[in-house]
Amino acid sequence: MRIVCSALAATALTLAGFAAQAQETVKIGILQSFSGITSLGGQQADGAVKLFMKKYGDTAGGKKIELIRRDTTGPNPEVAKRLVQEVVTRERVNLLIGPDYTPNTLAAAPILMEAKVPSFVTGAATTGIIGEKSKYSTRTFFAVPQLCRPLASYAVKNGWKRVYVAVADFAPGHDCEKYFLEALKEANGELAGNVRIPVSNPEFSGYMQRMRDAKADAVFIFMPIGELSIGILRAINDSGLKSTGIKIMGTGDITDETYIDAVGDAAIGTITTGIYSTQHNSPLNKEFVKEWAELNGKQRIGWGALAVYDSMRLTYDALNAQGAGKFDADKFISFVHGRTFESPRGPVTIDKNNGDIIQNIYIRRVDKVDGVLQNVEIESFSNVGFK
Amino acid sequence: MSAFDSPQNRAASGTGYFASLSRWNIFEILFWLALASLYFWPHADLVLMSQIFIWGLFAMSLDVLLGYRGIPSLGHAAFFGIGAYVAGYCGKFGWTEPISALVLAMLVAAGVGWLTGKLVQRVAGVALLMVTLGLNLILYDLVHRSTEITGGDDGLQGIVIDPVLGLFRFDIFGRTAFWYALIVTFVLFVATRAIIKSPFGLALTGARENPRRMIMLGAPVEGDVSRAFALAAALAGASGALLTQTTQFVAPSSLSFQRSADVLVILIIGGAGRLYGGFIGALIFLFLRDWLAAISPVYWYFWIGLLLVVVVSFFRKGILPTIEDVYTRWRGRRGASP
Repeated sequence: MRIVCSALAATALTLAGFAAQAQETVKIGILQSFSGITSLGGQQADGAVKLFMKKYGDTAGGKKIELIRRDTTGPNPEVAKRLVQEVVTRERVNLLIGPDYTPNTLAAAPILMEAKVPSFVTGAATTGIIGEKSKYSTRTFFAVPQLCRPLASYAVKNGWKRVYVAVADFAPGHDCEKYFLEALKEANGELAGNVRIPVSNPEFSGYMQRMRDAKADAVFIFMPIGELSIGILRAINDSGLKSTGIKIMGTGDITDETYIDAVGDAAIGTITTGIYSTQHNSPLNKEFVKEWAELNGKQRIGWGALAVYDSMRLTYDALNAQGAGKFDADKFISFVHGRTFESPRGPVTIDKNNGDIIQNIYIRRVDKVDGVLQNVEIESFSNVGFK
Repeated sequence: MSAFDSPQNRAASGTGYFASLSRWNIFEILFWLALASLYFWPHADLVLMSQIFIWGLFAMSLDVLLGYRGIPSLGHAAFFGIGAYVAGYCGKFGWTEPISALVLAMLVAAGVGWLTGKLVQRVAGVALLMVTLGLNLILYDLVHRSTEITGGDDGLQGIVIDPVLGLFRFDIFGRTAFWYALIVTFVLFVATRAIIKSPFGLALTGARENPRRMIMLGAPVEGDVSRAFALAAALAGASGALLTQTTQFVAPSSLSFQRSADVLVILIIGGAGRLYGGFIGALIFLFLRDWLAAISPVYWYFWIGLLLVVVVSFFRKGILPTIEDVYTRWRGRRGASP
């Protein structure tokens, strides 16, 4: 009896030893918006993380990956900063995916710098928020100029010289307007007029009339993701503006796959810039889209999901490169920054000096493919910078 | 106890009455000691605590208006936001010393509060809700759309806050934030308590209960409205400034309608007209929210909604008044039985 006991104890001890060795973990904080009207971002992030871990397992570089999820509740820097402090000081996470939104990212930056915690920016597009003041941050999303500049030269090249510019009246809208007007001037285009539309005013008919009176060749639109984008495309269709032959252009937000079905056929023909379309023609993307559908069903893939997926990609690669030993934030960052890899969206490079993203930007046109509205890529700009 | 000290005698002489009102009882002292002792809890979330103090102070400021003067406001976040942005601009443009910036934020908020009081002193009831809400929305839109000045949606960037008293830097563990928020909150609480327990405070309560009678007694009811607004706004401004200084960031969410609604919920849960109600409400609301959101990041709104319904149906008047009633009844029964 005693022998059995001690044998058991010995086995237990060895097992415990093994467990302690294998239990070397890397904690990743997932700070996204999981509740309320912005909960789509959280759902997309969850879908991407689940898919990635199903495919590549839950260990990287011999370390087990542990996820800590927290709800930032939307653009709320007070909550986001507190949660970052909490997961950094109490949960002791090694790295972060998030927080989302520009104000949240900015509020969190000083803590991440001080605590030396690498983070991935997957939901904030404002220019210049990545760089010197956040050496440990990496953007896998996009920067506003990447989406707002290319359409100006594209329009002029196609002979749509007079462009009317309509942006939502809030910080990202003002940002986008600035870059588009700059690019339009460089391309020798002509500004037919511009307007800033309040974000809390869904009544578009007055603006439709102004666009019509301006006799422009094309309209450039920037609207936040969500109901305003749906509203303006419908209004353009319903007011008859679309049937005058004017070209409707905008950033990919207005024809985002996650709600384009709500716009319906009114969206057909809209030309947008985007970092990713599920229609992107590459073997890697076909595989990604197929696996996503198997796991997440009918939910379509948004850009946030892709940014999170690529963040996981970089994390796993960096951990594998680091191998055994303690997690080292500086090694992690020097591996990630400057890296080029193939993403479902195409080739992506993380800038060596400041961690911002360089990627292909696609011009897409909304069309029906097998009865489903899709952003079909018609032209691409390679390696567009973030400035 | 001598006959001279009897309650009747004290009530007869006015000063005695106010002195007895403002005497600290054991529960109050225990409450503040308990808050301070939270610091020493193992594994305490100090940042959350400091935000609880800030919300508690903010709820107390609404209590001055709603609980004591009976003025409902749906736009109280406006004053919070003014304080927050004043402190933010101070930090951005080189006035990095926190305590003087806090005082400045309070003064600016108080000024705006006083004007608001002038504006709404003849308005009552539902119209008052609409006016305060309207003022809040105007201010929010102004900040939201003036990107060049306020940074709009992206928030004010480049705020620098010096160490408190030149000694205590705001650290990532939230130690300085905890003590700074607690001490400022306590000092302002003591001041507010003194004002509320003074003849001015009594006049406010009188105007809440029966304004017509107060006018007949010769009390300046309308003038008191702007003074109450100024006081409440100064406190709200202080809490806003505290938030900016402890997080070193400010965005339009600091004066959103959501915040006005949340502070009302916090005060109602805790119990209005009690000074402590806001703190109790903030403790419960924020702890629950943090705890539920950590357990279930996706569905926590459901649970907090359910809990709020339960709290409100079991504690009709708010948590603090209900506990007070139960305690008084229990004391009464014990006193009655020989």
